Amino acid sequence: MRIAGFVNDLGACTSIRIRQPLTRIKSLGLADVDLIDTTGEDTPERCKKADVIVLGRAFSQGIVNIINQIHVWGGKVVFDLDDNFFDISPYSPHYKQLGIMPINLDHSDGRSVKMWEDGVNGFSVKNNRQIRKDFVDVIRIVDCVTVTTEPLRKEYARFNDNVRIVPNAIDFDLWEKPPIRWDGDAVRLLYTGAANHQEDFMFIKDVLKELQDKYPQLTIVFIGTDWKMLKNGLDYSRVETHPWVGIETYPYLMRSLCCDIGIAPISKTKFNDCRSALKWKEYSALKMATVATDHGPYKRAIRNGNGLLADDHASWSKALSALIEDKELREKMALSSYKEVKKKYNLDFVIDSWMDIFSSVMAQS
Amino acid sequence: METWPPAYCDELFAKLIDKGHRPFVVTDDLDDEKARETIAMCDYFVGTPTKYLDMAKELKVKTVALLGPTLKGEGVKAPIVCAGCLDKIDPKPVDCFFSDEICFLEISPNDVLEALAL
Repeated sequence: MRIAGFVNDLGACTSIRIRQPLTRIKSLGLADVDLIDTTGEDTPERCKKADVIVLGRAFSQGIVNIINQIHVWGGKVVFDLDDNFFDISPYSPHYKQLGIMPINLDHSDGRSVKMWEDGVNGFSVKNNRQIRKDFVDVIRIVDCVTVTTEPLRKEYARFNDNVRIVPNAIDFDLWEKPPIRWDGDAVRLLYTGAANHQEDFMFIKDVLKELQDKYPQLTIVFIGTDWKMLKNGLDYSRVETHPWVGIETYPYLMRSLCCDIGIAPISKTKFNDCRSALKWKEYSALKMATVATDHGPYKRAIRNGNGLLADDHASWSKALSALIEDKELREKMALSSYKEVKKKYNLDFVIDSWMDIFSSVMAQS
Repeated sequence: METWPPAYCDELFAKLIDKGHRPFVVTDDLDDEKARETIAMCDYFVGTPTKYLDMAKELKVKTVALLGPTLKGEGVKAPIVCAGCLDKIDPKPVDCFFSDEICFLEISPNDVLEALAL
């Protein structure tokens, strides 16, 4: 079997969902794999040679044309989607391309601020409606859609009869934690998230401030953004901020930070319900204890002592305080979740699911 | 917002036929009497809010109405927000300001099959 993957960008999604599994498939000798940067002139020739082509996050008429051409050549197309692109939050920068209605923010004092105004700062309702139309077209014509979770499967199964779940996996060759420990009772609490998680972070900022006041041994570590724009009141002498790094370097950065607790606050939206519990998996792979919002992916993943769920300010504060104060508890929890993730979400095991899908897609008439 | 995409109709018909059902199409090419006769033969009617939907209701045929985001009533409603233009334009236009039918694109054949529960 010859499998090609479109890997134009170095983003996390392309890496985790396409580059990483295909590279592993190649190294295991399960198929011939070709990772294609489609800006190259030889792209058509390479596509012609592939039995199955995997692509992700593509929303244009150009992609519709490419898929139709691949079908003419006899190839099959697997379209990977790891988010619900029908329900993008207006707080996300992605709304600029995927939002289809103008948004006003109504303040309690009566002011109304135009958050997304049609025709302003590159936001065009008409263009975005076309993008959405093209997106639906792509979903309808591909041979298979792969997704990360059951709610996402249901969402896209409305448009394609062959939607399959492949959970996000962890490559333990990259994620295994080195044996480094901090001295004394210092506790390091990690949050990873880009600015598009603004809505999620607002959830937790007051809790972090309270914990910082309560526990002088606590250091808060942010990867992605410093969150100063949200006027969170944190004492930044005890906050570390690390910018995003390339996806290949990301596990090494995470490992080197040697954090004890990871948090995954998410707002209770349909978009977030469709997401996977990737943060819990990554934290667990590093033997960190996780506290996450009692919603969607984390509600589905966290149980039986492999993490803690929290809902409101009080429960977040209680859960995090328990872990900060009790080293034995967090280490026990971390070990439990580490074992579970290594057993259930190990890239080596998830490869079988990918191969099943590629084989069945190839067999489709 | 007047038509469901022909490709969606084709897919729905193919899936209904696969399940052993027999779909009919009612269009404006038929006179009203013929349309009424055709609808009366059916157990279900699927369509946008046109006179044919009203006929189906009169004839006590089970209906699945295909509804855009601004329309009220029972049926399969496009799970998409209206861009709001209908609220801003005075007098209100009959059709969508954008005329791109993306609202109906988001009522999939599988949505209709689920509503039919056949």
